Amino acid sequence: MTKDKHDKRHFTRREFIKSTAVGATVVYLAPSLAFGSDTGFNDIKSRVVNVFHPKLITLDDQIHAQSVRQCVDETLLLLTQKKDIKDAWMQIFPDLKEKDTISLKVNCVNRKCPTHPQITYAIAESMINSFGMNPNNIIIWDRTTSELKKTGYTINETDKGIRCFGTVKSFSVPRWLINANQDESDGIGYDKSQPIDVGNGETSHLSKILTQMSTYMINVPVLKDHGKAGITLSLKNHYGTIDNPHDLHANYCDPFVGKINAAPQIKEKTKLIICDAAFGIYKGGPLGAPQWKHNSILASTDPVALDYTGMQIINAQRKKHNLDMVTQKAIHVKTAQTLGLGTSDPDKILLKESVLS
Amino acid sequence: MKWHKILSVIILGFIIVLPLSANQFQLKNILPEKMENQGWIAEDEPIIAIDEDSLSMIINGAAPRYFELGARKAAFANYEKDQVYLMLEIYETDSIKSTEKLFEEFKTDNSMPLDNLGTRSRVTSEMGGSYMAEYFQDKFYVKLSITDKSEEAKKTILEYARTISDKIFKYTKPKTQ
Repeated sequence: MTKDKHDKRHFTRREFIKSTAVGATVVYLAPSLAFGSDTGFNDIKSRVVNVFHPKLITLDDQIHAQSVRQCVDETLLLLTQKKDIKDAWMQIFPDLKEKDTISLKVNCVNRKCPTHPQITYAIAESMINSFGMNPNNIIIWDRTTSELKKTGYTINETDKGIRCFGTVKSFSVPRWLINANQDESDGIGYDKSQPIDVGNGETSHLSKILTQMSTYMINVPVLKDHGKAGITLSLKNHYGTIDNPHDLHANYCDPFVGKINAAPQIKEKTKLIICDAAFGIYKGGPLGAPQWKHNSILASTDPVALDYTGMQIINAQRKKHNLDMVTQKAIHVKTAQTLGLGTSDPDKILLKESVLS
Repeated sequence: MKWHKILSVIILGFIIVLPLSANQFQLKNILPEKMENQGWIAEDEPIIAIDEDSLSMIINGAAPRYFELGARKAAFANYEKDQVYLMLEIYETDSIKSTEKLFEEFKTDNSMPLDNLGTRSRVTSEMGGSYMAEYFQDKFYVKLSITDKSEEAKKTILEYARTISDKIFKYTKPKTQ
């Protein structure tokens, strides 16, 4: 485990920068090529960073408030290869205007192992403190307000402070069965004006938080395996963006996951993925308590490369516990690559790791 | 909400609720009662899943594995007291053998066996700050979690676990003439 690695050697900040092209020669990647539409789909390597902080988790298994902000900022600096956090954010959002809204799509389906609020708020605070983002132009969201609240988020639908709410207010089986007739007063709801083809004759509708309220999006998933899809990282996280996730679990959730992510509203608005890898689940996910402490934050602008990297981390844990690899189930990762959403070719992924102290 | 939407909801509600009512009877009967008397506030109405689709809506991608192992229905109820959350899951399976398989499936290294609860039982000190008590009894696999790692919290879930166990016993014991 990474903890063992940390215990053996104490690295100071940025002293340890391990460049691993996942089995290939490391090639310097110009920062300007690491973002936007040039994000390494073909000839250019996609950059994924994995920043560990041995104090990210406290002795009572909570996220350490002071360490998390340092970890978030260091993750962004390493990803963008900038020295200043403001410059890092400006590289991620080069066209950001004052009126623009950045939303953070978290994952709260598992209340024992959600996107931890401390990490999400640290990302928001980094934007507010470093380049003066208006807090009210930041929206933290997931499928239901109820799940956000249960996992420790502060619900705020006012015109002051960081906003936080779900697409619908709460979850119930009858509500989901009748989602086509869902009362819009029960939350902002789904955008019926922009149906998306998700494959095999299925159609989904995206959250209006994404289609109508977000200029850009940061995807903030959790490091977990998934009984059907093999893994649930950045790509699968968008099952919490659509109105009919329960219809899309056949055939390892493929091609649905890839097709959802190929929707222009997701593909074009997503500028960054920051994966909460403080803890992880390698078996029985997406539900259940965390099963190991990974003590890290992963980030990339390429969702496929990030998910491929996360899958290797989960596979390593499964190997330790004599379990089958999840790769065979996670066919959506390959499909996403085929759809031009990024790369799962290890020779085209540039993994940078850093251990903070 | 327009009248036709209201009508659709009512009609769909009947379609959904009528079959659920017949199937839910057993599971609803073994949920603990009067938790409010101990200060626990129900977060939502208990949810009953009657097939893989409805289970998928609640436990997402974990549902297929539960079904593979024989789970056929499930009940979920969540309670809150002073920012401590108590989560209850009861799975009804197709056979006692399946229940045992489910119980074995989710065993972890941190689990400690318990005495005098169900056919077999264990308590797990979970990473992230929670305790979980689990047992199987007849065709029921029961999980109770609490987001507090105090001894008092552990005692609380074990008390509720025993209450449910008594109800299962009452429900499943052979009827005498």
